[in-house]
Amino acid sequence: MDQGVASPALRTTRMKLVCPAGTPPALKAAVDNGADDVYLGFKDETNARNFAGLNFDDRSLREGIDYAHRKGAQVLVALNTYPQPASWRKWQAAVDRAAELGVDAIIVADAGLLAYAAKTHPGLRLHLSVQGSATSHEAIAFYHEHFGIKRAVLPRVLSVEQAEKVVARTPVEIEVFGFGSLSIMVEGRCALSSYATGESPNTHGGCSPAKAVRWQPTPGGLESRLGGVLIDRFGEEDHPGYPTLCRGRFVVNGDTYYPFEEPTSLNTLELLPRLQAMGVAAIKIEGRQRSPVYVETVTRVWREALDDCAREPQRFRVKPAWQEALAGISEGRQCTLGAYHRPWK
Amino acid sequence: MKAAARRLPAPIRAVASRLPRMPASIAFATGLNLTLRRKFPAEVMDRLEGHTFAIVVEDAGFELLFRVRGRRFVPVAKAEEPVLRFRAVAWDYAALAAREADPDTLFFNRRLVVEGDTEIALLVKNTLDTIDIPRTRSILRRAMRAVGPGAG
Ligand code: SF4
Repeated sequence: MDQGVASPALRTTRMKLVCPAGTPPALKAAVDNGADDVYLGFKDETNARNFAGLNFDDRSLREGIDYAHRKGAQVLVALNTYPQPASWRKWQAAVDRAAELGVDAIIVADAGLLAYAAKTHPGLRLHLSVQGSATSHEAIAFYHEHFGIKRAVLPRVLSVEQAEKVVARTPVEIEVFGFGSLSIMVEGRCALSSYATGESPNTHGGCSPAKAVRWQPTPGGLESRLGGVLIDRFGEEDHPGYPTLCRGRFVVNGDTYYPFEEPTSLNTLELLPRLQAMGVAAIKIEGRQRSPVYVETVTRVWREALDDCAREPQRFRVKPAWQEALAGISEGRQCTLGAYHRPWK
Repeated sequence: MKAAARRLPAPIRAVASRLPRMPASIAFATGLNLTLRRKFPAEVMDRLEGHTFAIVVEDAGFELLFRVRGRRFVPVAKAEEPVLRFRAVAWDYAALAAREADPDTLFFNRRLVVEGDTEIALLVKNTLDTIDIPRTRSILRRAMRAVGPGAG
């Protein structure tokens, strides 16, 4: 029964803009266009965008940190997959590398890794990853008490009202997703891809590993397959999306449809004044797998929007030019508010 | 959201489609060696070693073919099945090279078609995204502006 913004005096705290970078040019594009934080990953399965040719080695990360710091931006390293017993040392080493290179924070999902980081590098700022799947203030309090996390990223499964309650009851900074492709299941707990590829994003860093993906032109249209499983078939007018199982169109009881959810992109520009009034600390943009052009476009639009919103929240209006620019780089044709606005909870 | 691609004007198309294919592939491979070869990490070139690539310029009606051999790009006259075949119009290729267009968006909009080995395609895409060639880019951007608006 929540009706709009609760607090009469809209807060004027400026929300931070957190942008993705899969490559050094994307990092530069984010910094140059006004990102406050840039998040990125190493070139291995310690992060959830583990794709060939993507991500940073020590040298490019060092240069990236230099570049960002010179321009007043911060660099966050995502170590957001779950270490396995046999490979624990690799994750541990990744935390040490990040700390030694002087990153501003690491984004971690696994409690064991958080414990290691908190103990070994007490000065290193910790953010709880969306993959940690903490959807309540109690869960966040647990990570706060035990590991001293400074920020938590909320999974994309909460409504605005639910997010508002979490923000009100936690001392930890809250970061929410603002824009990008949707991962529609409860983050950190999705093992759908294991069914088709034997790998899950939580352990291997991707749910459509390229070696399992096939795009095949057929007389019936362009087919996408993951581990041999037909995900979808696209006619001339259809717009393909990423070949993950959650975006699949399947035959269920004789009907062909998207049993999980229609593939759409998240776009929460219109919610900005409300998110700001709630006290959300940062807005995250999805897309470390995307090109520098994408990063440049999204960062430019969101910087302008966040500045407008911070200046005059009451008068904030979403500009058609922003929506047009974002629609031009979105996956799928439609943008939605995702779970922020859903009739069912 | 617009999906319409900018195509070459008919007269240019007519001439381009009649150009002999091999010299175009030679020029293209030479261009790649000059601009990209040293920027591609050795391990990426090694991964591409021995593979043939095809770039179909749809509105010009021709196909550029090259192979990676000894960490160099060499032109090829005829392709056995290439490991990757890209299809797009000239304008979209230029927009990609100038970083005026986003490859995933062109792909979602069916303006860039990629056939073949997905793993190598992703490696090539991500490696290209990693590379900074500001001079080539600004020349391209200027040239595109001169030809007309509507990039990407
Ligand atoms: S399969 Fe879909 S829901 Fe699951 S992790 Fe991948 S993108 Fe997210």
